[in-house]
Amino acid sequence: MMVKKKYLTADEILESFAKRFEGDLIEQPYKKTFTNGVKKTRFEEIFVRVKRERFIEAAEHLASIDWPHHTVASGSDLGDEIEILFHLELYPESHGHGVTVTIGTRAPKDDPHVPSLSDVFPAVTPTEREKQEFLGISMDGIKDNRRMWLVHAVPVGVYPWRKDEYGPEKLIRKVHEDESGGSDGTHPIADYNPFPPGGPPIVKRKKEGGDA
Amino acid sequence: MMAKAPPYPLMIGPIHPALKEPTMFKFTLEGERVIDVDLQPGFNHRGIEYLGMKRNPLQVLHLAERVCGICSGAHQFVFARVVEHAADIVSTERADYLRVLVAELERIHSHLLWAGVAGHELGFDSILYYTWKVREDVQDILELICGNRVNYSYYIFGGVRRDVTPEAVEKARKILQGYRKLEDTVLNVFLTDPTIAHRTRDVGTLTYDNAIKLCACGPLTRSAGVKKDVRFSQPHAAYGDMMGDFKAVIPSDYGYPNKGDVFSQIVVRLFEVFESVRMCDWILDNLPGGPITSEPNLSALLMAKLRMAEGEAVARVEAPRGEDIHYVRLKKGKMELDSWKVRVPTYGNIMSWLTMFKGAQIADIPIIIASIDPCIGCMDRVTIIDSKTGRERDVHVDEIKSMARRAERGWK
Repeated sequence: MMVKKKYLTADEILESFAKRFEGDLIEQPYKKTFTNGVKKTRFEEIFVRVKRERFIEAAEHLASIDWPHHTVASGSDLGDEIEILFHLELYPESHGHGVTVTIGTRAPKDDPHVPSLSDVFPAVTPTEREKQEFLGISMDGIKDNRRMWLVHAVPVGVYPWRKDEYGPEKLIRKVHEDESGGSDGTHPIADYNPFPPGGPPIVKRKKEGGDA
Repeated sequence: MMAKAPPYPLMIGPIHPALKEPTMFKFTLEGERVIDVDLQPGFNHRGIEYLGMKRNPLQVLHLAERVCGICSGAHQFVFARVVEHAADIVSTERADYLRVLVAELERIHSHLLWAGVAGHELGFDSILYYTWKVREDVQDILELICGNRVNYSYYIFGGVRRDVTPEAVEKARKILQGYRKLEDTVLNVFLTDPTIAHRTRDVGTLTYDNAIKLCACGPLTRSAGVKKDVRFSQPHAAYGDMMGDFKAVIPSDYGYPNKGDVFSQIVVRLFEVFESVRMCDWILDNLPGGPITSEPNLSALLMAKLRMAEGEAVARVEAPRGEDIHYVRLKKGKMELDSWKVRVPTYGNIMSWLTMFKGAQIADIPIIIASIDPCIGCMDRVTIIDSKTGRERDVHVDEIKSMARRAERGWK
């Protein structure tokens, strides 16, 4: 167990990504450095964004450096595009050599799909399912395509983190603007029957996960 | 009675005596043995990330704290750090130390709370009463330092809100001294009692390979012998200064096997309590002077710095249950967060958790559920929305139960 491990620095990791994915990078990879405490201990974060055609290769490249600790995927609506970022850590078992690595990719909204990383990192499935539900993007090759986080009453075609017409705004009840207050029986919610004849609605996802 | 051929389905949840919070487990059984399990969360989704994207960072600081009622401090800590990283704000040295002090006090109270719950799930309620009684002392220190027992509101961008007084330091030292004596009682009960050993040894085992492959975090992964601990892998705040004196707690360092079973998790959490007590003492001994925040003027901070900041960042903190990560993106000229993702420890442990049930007995399900110290309230974050009217509403427990029953029976 006491084999001395060679830890790559953030700069070396950045350079290896920049070299291998030259021409297929969405933006130049960069790092952020922070220092804390009296001794000013340093730690670093790396952000790498590659085109979706080579996204799995980027994940494999990271795994070839060392087996990373996968934490979570985050996603953003950038306007015309949807961005998916996977946040991982290299050397999580080391004493002070951990580097947070974020690898990301983007997909245009009219063709919203990115490759799933579940073949490389088995732990990503729950968080990829979340991105499908919350951003209306589909992860190609995901291991489990069922809905997980949103209750089935949320209609398909409403994605809570979208900032366009597919966002959840139309579902939100603003109590302060609601004159009836929903208590006198005139509010539409009063008519809501969770058990209509035939049972609650069953939502099936389209294969594309798309919205168009 | 017509006997059905195995495997049998068994639903536990969304509301069940073995669960403290709503989530649904769908087990497949062969006799008493679990052969497969599926998890359906989402019954308590509150939409906190969505709310955060409608608010400015100062407001979200308090919202983040309300992600969880137990590790509220960890969420505020990590959110303060992630915004600092995105907006290039640096915290002061004294604040770095005070931040760690509160984080470690929180770990003590969270682990003691878990020890009580674990005792309760094993049918050993005297442990529950004892550990929750001693937990009150650490709550007293937290109240003394932060002014609050649960939602501390202690962390702020650039530092902390309140300084510690010499009287508070003295009182805290006294109480921490009392915790050292717990080694005789709590450790003795948990680690030598034959009933606890019988119910927890080799139960809910997470193998080392699965812990690595499925990226488990927190005391769960350390119980399998994986030394993952954000405090030491990426030493932030004052952890960088205490690197030489402390390291991640794994059972083999204390003479117990790294089995990844419920017993190993007990070992890790209890020794972490004493490690945290030592850390708090270390902080109080080495507390540097100086200001407690680098940004005393909050309105200037908000209008000049946070509104004009452009950038993104990830920050990670070792919460009591495991690592807690936030991702934030700030846009220039925009008050609200452009993007926010919260990842709580339970979320990161879902995949590992499910492997722990395989091969277990039905009677072990409650303690395996409780063993990872799950926090479903943290994990679920959206309100129930009606698809017919497009309106939000709260659904009564009975309705959820009856929905679960319908789903279980395959009714359309």
